[in-house]
Amino acid sequence: MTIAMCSVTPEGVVLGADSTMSVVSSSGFHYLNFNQKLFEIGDGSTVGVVTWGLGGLSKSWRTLLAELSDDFKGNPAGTVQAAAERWADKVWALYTADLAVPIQRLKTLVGQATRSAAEDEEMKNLKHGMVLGFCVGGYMEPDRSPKAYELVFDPQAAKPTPQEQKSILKWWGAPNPIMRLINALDQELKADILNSGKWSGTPADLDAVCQKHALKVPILPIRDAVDLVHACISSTIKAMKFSDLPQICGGPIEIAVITTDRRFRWVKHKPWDAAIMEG
Amino acid sequence: MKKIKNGAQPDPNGLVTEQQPTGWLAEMHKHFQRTGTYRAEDLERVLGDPREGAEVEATTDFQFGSFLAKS
Repeated sequence: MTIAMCSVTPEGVVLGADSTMSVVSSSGFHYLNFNQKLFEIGDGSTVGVVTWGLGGLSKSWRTLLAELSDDFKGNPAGTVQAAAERWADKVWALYTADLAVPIQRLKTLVGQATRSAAEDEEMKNLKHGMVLGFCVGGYMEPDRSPKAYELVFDPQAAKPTPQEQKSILKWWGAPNPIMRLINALDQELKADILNSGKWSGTPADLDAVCQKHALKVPILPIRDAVDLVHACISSTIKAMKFSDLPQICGGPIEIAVITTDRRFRWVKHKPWDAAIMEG
Repeated sequence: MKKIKNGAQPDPNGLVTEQQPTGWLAEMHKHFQRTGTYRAEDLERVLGDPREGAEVEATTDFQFGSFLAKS
């Protein structure tokens, strides 16, 4: 799992992510803390990608994005939205081919009238384990407007179409810690309160109470947006560290910025000896 | 101030040592102890839905301040 973030401001786009990859072995969860989740499309480009969810397919994101960049050389995308659409096409082809068997198994389980407890757990794990998300952000000349588009591949849904981010900050993967920090409540906690039998108001009443305590985020100068993204990722990592939550987010925080007057730039990027230096 | 022995934190009211998780939280811990993994439903409950992002709109309560000092 991941904490991935994107901030769209008038000056540009900030992308960020942690570096932990969770793998399941016969002995349980195993965490690798130097995975790459944030990429530039090509070299010297104006578009970047951050990913969350499923850790990979039979080709790495790095290779697939390099191939996409090669495609752009002969056939430029034109817009950030078009770049996201072509990325969706490319990933969808591999996603449906690589995961054909588990996707079919999920369909079968969902379609069964009754399921055993083991089948029910298998179904839930398949539903969540194959979710894969990307945020494609930046600008595409001659239009220097900063844009970001979200793509979520869901094993129960059709090929995703890019959804434009309209908000100043959006985050994915493990959203709850920052939901609580900024909005005072996450969806699961809200559902528990509403279903507790102790809340006599409406859901809108509860939202109104939380809204009073929500943190207000102004339109930020780009360096402050970088700070916000870093602070949110760091807080998510620390929420897991200082609790009994699994450390599914961690490792070096990576941040990139694409300002409307420059190309993709790294703000924080782990060096190639990062994993060696850890030990 | 109480001295801490052998690195243990004092817990006079048993707030930490005697509170046992119940319900789905207890089940989550049991499952982890048994398998070394967390169930998808537990991760979603605690950390959020991987299919859904969360977002915050910029507030309009703020206005850009002037570079000129107010007299």
